[in-house]
This record gives sequence, structure tokens and C-alpha cells, in this order.
Amino acid sequence: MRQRTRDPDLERAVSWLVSRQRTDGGWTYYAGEMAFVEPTAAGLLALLASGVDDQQTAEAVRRAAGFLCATQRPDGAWGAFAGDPDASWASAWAAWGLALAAESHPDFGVASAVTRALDWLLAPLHNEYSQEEIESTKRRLRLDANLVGWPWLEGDAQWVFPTSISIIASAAGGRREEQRVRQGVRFLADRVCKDGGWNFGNPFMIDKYLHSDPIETAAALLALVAAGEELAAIRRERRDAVSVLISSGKEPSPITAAWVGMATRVLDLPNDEQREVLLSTQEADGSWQSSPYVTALAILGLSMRSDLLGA
Amino acid sequence: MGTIPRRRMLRYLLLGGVGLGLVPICARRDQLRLLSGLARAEWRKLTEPPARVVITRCAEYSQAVEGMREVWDQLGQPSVAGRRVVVKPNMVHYLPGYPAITSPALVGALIGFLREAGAAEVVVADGGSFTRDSYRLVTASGLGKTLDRHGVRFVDLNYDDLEEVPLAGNYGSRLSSLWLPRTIMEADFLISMPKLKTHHWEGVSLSLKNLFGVVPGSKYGWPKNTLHVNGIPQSILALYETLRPDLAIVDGVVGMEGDGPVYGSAVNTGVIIAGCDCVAVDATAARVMGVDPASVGHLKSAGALGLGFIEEERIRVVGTPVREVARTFARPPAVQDGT
Repeated sequence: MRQRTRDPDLERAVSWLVSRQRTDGGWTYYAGEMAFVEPTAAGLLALLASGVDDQQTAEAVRRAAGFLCATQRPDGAWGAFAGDPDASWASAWAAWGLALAAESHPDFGVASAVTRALDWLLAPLHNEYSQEEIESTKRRLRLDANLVGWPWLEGDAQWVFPTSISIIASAAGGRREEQRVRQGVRFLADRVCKDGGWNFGNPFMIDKYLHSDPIETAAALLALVAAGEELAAIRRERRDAVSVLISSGKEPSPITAAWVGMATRVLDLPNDEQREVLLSTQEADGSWQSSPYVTALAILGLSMRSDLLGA
Repeated sequence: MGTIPRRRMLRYLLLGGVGLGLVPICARRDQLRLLSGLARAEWRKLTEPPARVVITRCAEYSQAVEGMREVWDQLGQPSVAGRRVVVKPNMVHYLPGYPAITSPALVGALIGFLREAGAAEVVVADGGSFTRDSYRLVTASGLGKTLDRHGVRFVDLNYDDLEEVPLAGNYGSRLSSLWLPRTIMEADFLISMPKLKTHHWEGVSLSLKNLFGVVPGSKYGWPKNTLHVNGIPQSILALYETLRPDLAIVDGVVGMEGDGPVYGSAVNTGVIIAGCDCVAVDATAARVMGVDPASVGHLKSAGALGLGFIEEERIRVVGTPVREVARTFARPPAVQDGT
């Protein structure tokens, strides 16, 4: 999995990210003090993807994996942060990060944590809606409420982003053929916006078609790759979604450029504009917006590969 | 305080009697809260003067500073000296051509007055409901440039540090607490600064509904579905009673009618509406839109529970009378099944 790099921009970014790791191995989102699961897993993935392979980085990878193992709940899930009593969508991020860590660092001994995480993530789920609710959802939102994706929080409705990350985590853990993953792919197909991309999960509301968003579009396309769809087929059959990505190329925001960068790299699409946005918004200290989270995503936007998706 | 009319006295006695009688069977805390809210409403009506709501004309955003100066003066120049002020605009989603968010010009004008008044720190904070990238929202909307000019930072509440906060008002909802952003909980003075607009589920989206933006996506996701599952009016009331903003300033220079809160159409209403009783501000803003506040579920409940006044006779409008600026905003598209 590891590809050594001598990219000085990436090396500066990785060095900054490592310097901002908390002593417990976690990372904050921005300038706060609380470690959250999502930025920690994204940081772990970024370090693994970057190809930077010095001793400090290797130690940071070990500590990040340690944070995730220490905060995993007995049922295999994670909260959004250490001490969160609720099982969270961030479990998918943690499972993805640990699955790749288990593969590249068998000595970490995290394989059982990955198994428990994926067992929790892939446990059967049935939407218990009445026929009336299903029909009402069809009428107002033009959604098939029978389809099963993943929610942000247990018990809530299901949405595009947590579904996408959960599919990727499952594939990265070698379990892309499971029924929940197939259901998730069907869920994503049902949530496509009229312009071909994805938004948070409502392509239509009451009497209007809603716009897609490049972040969810990128995440959903990465999920389809992870689920095993052929790259050429995605480029051909999801042409409109690809257009959503390409047309967002000049967005001057690092988070958006990072997600679009991840998808365009994996789909082998032109991504000079995202790279340009990312490099032009990198701070002198190597970070993006002095944020561990944005920096981790930006590193992934500059170094994502399909093998990191389990594809 | 004045004398109590006989009919009202009978109402209090009846309420008190019913309340005392219900206490043994109201084992559930939310029922007791409901009862105490109803009693509080009557008590406030009896003892408190009318709420003061300022309506100021401001024909366009180029006059934001003048408009805000008039609002600030009419409000009696709220005491913010030495305090950490958090301004919470409505940044729900930015789409060019759709006036869904609070104008950066108005936010900038307010920052100027807060600074002049000696605020120790001013922070602008929100957590968009539909996109994970608030930076894009802040940049594209022009708010970023305004904040840079004033040297004020934007805190994305979706990614802030959190603390668990018991919900003060929890009327029949399944939530007893929420994890809320530290920036909001540590504010000395919280200003809810919504847009004047309609809302397809709630009828209107004003300073109370604006509080949905403080609920963090990192924990509850986008578009904050937990609040919908919990019941939108219940969640609005719980957030309002818990956070109790010190001031509401409604951007009605350009409002939104029809399919709010995002896809509606612009209405040049040319007003700023403000006051310290957020419920009274929202009720007045609703009247400016041609909406009876008693027809808006969460406003009717807020009034009934004593969280603020919604009755016209209990609100003293200062500045421009409602009738001079009231319009009839197009209603949101009908929700066929009544949900």
C-alpha cells in the first residue's frame, strides 16, 4: 500500500499534522481542544496515503490507531468523540482508517477491532416505516423509504455522506460483497439529484429539485468505486456526476477541493484545478486553515488512490 | 401591577386548582414543565410590561450602517461592554439568487456598533445545515470579506468543541440534552440574527428557528435530522428555552417568501426588526410577513408557555408601525399530508 514520496508540499503538510497530534493520539477538527473520531481517522488515513515514511510519521500512525482502539465501544462502534455515549456515523471513518492500518501494520494488532467495527457497521437494518409513511415520502421527497443506507445517528433517517463512508470502510475491510453494501449502493442510486450529482440526501423536496453538492458527489463516486463498479463504467454512466465534480474545479475552498481531488484522482479525471486550489491555499507552515481536519483531507486530496478504498 | 380583573382572577384560581390537582398524576417531568410554563405565561402577563420591539426602515443594504444605528439607539444601546458577544446569523445554505442568509452588510454594521459599545470580543458563528463546507458558504456569500475587514473570526459550529447541555424546555420530546458548541455556551451575550423568511415546514423561520444552526453536524449530521425526528417545534422551543438569546435582530431588508428557507423568492421589505424578547420579535416579524403568529406552531406554544409575548396588545412597537411595512408574503408550497 505504501508509496514513498519526496513531494515537499506533502511532507510539510504531514509534518504539521504530526506536530498537532494530541498526546492521546487524536486530532481536533480546528483550533479546539477536543479530539474527534472523524479528524483522527482522516489524519490516520492521510498519513498512510501520503507516502511519507519517516520515524515520526510512523509513530503518529501508531498513536492514531491507538486512539481509535481506545475509544471503540464494546459493541464495535464509536461515538463522534471520546466520551460520546451515542454510536455515531464516525464509526465508518474509524473502521476505514483502522482497516488500512491493519493491512499496512499487522504488528499493531488492530485486526480484531476492525472485525468488530465492520460487524457493527454491516449488521442488518430494516426501516420500519408504515405504508402511509412510505407513500408520503414518495410523494413529498420522491424517495424510496424502503431502501437502506446509513444514518448519522442510530435511529435517524439515512443520508448520502454516512452511507458513502460506510461503503468505503466496508470495502477497505474486505467486505464489499455484504448485503448492506449492496443495499447502500441501491440507496445512493435512489438519491441522485436531477443534475446527476448528490447532495445531503434529498434530491427533491415538496415541489422542487434540489442542487447537488460537490462534496457528497465526490464521496458517493468514491463509494461506487469502493463497491466495485468499473472506473470506465462510472465515467461513462455517471457522466453528469463527473460534470458536477469538474465544474466545481475553481471552488477556492480547501475542503471542497480536497474531496473533489480525491474523486478525480481515483477516477483518473483531470484534476489540475483541484491541485492548484489546494497548493495555493496551503499555509506557510504546511497546514490548511491551521486545521488538522482540513489538512488531513487536503493530504488525501493530493494522494488518494483506489487501493485505499479497497478497490 | 394594577388590579386583576375578576374573570382573570377566576382563570388563575382555576389554573392553580387544576395544577395542584394534576401534580400527583403528572409524574412525568415534561408534563410538570408544561404546567409550570402555562402558569408562567399567566404570571408574566400579569406582572410584566409589554415587550418592546423596534421596527426600522432600511430600504437597501447600502444603508445598513444607518439602519443598524437607528436599531441600536432604539434598543437603548444594549450593554455589551467587556462582554464576549456571539452573533449567530442565518447561514443555512448559500445559493446565488436565493436570499436565504442574513446579509453580510448587516452583520458588518452590527459588528461596528458592538465594537463601539466596548464588547470585549465579537465572534460570528453558525453551522450550515446542508453543506459540510462552511468556508465555501462564508466565502461565496461575501461574509468572509466582511469579517476580514472587521478582524472578526467565524466559528463553524458544526466542528466546534462540545459540551452536553440539559435541555431547559423539553415539552414532549425524546431528547433530554444536546451536545452544543462551546462557543455558544460560553457567550456572555448571544444575538440571534435571522433572515425574514417563510419556511416550508414551520411557516416562518426567524430568530427562534435560527437556533437550529447551533446544533453541531459533527455529532448530529447534516441536515441535523435529529431535530426533525424529535419534532421541529419541540426542538425549536427546547433550544430557545435553553439558550435564551439576549437579542434578536431580523434582516428584513430583503426577505424571502414562498418556498423558504432556501428556495423562496426575494421580497424587498426594507425593514430591520429587533428586540430582547425574541418571541415578540418573531411574532412581530410574522405580522410583517402577513402571517398570524398564532398560526405558527412554535410561536403559539412559546406564547402559551410564557417564553415571550405574541399578542399584539402585549408588544409595544417602537419606530415604524407594523401596518406601514406589512406585506402578504406568498406562503410556502402546501405540504399535502399535513406533516
